[in-house]
Amino acid sequence: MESAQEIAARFAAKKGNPVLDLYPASKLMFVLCMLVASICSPHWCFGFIVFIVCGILTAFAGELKGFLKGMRIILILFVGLLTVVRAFFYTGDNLHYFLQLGSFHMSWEGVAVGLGMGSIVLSVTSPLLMTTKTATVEDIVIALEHMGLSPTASFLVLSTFQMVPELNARSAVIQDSQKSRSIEVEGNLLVRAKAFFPMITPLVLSSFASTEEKSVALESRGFNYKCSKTRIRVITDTPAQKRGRILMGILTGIFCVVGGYFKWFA
Amino acid sequence: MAYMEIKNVTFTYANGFKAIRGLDISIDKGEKVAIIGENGAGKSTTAKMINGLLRPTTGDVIVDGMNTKDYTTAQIAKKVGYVFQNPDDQIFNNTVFSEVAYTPKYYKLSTEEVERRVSKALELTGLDKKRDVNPYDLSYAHRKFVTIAAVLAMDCELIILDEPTAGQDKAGMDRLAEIISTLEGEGKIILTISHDMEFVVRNFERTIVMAHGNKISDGNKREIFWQLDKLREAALHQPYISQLAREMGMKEQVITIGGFLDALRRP
Amino acid sequence: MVCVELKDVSYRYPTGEKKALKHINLQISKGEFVAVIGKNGSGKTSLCNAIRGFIPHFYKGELTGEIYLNGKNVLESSISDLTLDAGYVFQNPFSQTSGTKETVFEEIGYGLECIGMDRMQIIEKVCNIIQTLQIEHLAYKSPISLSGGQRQRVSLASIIVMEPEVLIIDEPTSQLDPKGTEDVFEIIHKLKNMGKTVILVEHKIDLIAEFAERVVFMDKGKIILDGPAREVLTSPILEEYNCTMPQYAILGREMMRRGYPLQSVPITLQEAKEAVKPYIRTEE
Repeated sequence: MESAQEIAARFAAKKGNPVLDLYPASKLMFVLCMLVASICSPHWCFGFIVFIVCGILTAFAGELKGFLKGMRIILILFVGLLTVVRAFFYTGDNLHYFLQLGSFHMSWEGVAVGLGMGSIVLSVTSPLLMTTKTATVEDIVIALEHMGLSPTASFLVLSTFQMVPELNARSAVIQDSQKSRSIEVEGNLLVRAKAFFPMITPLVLSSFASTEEKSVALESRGFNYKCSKTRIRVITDTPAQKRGRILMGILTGIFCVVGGYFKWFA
Repeated sequence: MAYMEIKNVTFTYANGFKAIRGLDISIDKGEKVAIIGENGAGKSTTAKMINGLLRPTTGDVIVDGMNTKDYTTAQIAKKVGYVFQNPDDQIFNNTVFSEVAYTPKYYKLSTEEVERRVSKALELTGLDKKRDVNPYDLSYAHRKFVTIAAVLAMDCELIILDEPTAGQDKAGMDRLAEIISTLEGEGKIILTISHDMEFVVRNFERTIVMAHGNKISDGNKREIFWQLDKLREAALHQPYISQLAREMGMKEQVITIGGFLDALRRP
Repeated sequence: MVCVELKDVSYRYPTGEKKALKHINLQISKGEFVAVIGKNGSGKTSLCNAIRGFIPHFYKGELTGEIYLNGKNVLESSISDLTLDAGYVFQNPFSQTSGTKETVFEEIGYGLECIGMDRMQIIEKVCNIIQTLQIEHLAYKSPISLSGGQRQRVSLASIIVMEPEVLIIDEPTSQLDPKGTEDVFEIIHKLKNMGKTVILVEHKIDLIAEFAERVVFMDKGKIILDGPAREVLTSPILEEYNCTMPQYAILGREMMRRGYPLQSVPITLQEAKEAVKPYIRTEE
């Protein structure tokens, strides 16, 4: 076993990768900034540029595959579908049509508007997905705690996230138990439908039963002990990032004012 | 021909862990077999290959002529009943009766047959007065007996009890002994995985010792519990009375208190 | 110094028909190792719940009598207030993890984080307990991936690391193999030697005979016997209540029945050896 010093370093580990080591609040600030910037931006290209930048950053962190997998659905469903639908239903004067389907016409201007909405979606989802792929839930929650999130709320978030793999693991055990009672659980839809209650009920019932004991176990370990809590895991902020976040905040404000002026008043 | 055969089997889990390195076991009808060994030795893995939950990576497991590779677990479960360690992974009905009757009903047996099987199972497990109780209103130890009853009602030829004594008091142990004895009388095969040496001595004859994914010994309990090197390899102890006999240098290989007393000089 | 005191405590669970505890009077001094035995449903866990304050603060119900833990009135303190007075290891290994930690190391340190201990101190203490309980191989695994037996060891570690005055341990070996069980009993023995007060609920009566000094026998919510292990574990009352005795005690009593003049009924291996020595047939 390593020494206490080595372990302490392990739990404050800098992975050596600038993207992975970014303080989570910086990443979250980036999300907000991009959201506002894209809403106020005059051109539909903005979101796609953000998407490419996030893709590059995530690739730098070694998580490109997961990033693209997540964005795939967003790109097809939200951006693609949204653009097509919006384009078909866009009406106005002096439009340049290029496609006709029955009584629906698609114009270049309509496509531009649709892409503009898609751009906003991309501007939010790209940085958000980049954040989730390059920072653990725990680190994000720790950053939120530094900003004032209550211990109870952070507990709720973390335990909910961990509940999913826990329930998955239990489902597998329950599946084994029911198969061993001659209950078919795999196969066509009808078979699975019949197996619903034998699969779900033990999961739910025992979850309820164990929740009570879990609560008392937590309390007895000091969950509600009156003091501020410490943590083994630490994440570090840097003055440069702090300045960066302030800058992004200011930029966001500027975007709001300038963009808002152009969009609604000019 | 043996009822259950494990032939030249190895098993490797998806994560690469080789749980079974080379196993050959055959069990005949009417046998009472205990598998002992430390946690991680491969006991549960072996048991799960017998009821078809796991399929061997290499080799074959044959149950009553059926190769487990050719059938679903649910099909093999008609012949091999498995009582899991944690009853809460299985119970989903709101009365003891409906829980025990579930599989017989699933088999589409007649109402009379279902009633017959369930009543018998409930009586044997001491739950006959608790037919209409919600299993979650019973204690953990009682819930264990509910799952045992549910497996008994399946009327399998081979029944596997995985750590049945965990958390049981004397009354529970006595009841388990009764159940095992009744099943033996019906010609069933009973297989148990246990850490309780006294339980094994009391209820079983053949004992298989496993360590690091291998079977390192297989024989009658009288021999097994005196193979000190094998027990050591499997990180196991002799029954307490045997430990005393060994410490006192007795030449008789004692495994019961009665046997110990018989070996003493008269007072 | 009296560490734990129950004065005429009776208790009924909110949904209970019968009382789970009936007129319990119990005093435990600092540094004692007390084993609590009895059938399932005899009130052992309820007794432990009362000492720690889960009854009545968490489970509600009706409680009469007084309970003191380290001089504090349990009925007037909250469960959190008593965190460092008594640590509780539960029977079910699957309901004790915090559900918020990615590694076993952090899981063990969770309680210390809750009480605001300094980070380096937490890390040192967790290191020590991991080495003492020999669970180095589990240190960086996810708590979700652990088996029942592994979880029992981790739960024990998480409570011991908090160094409470009193340790209440409810059936910690039910999922462990013989070696694991032996290890746990040795650790509990070490704790006792360090001056901790230990209250252990167990069915493994032979190991209780080897390690415990004092045994409390309960049935139907009442304390039937309370005294030195030697007296309680060989008492004929255990037989009347259909409770097992240690193997060596059964041997001893049977020998006495057959006319062997034993001075006392043995409960440990050492005592059994001395008792049977004169009657062993040597190779002649």
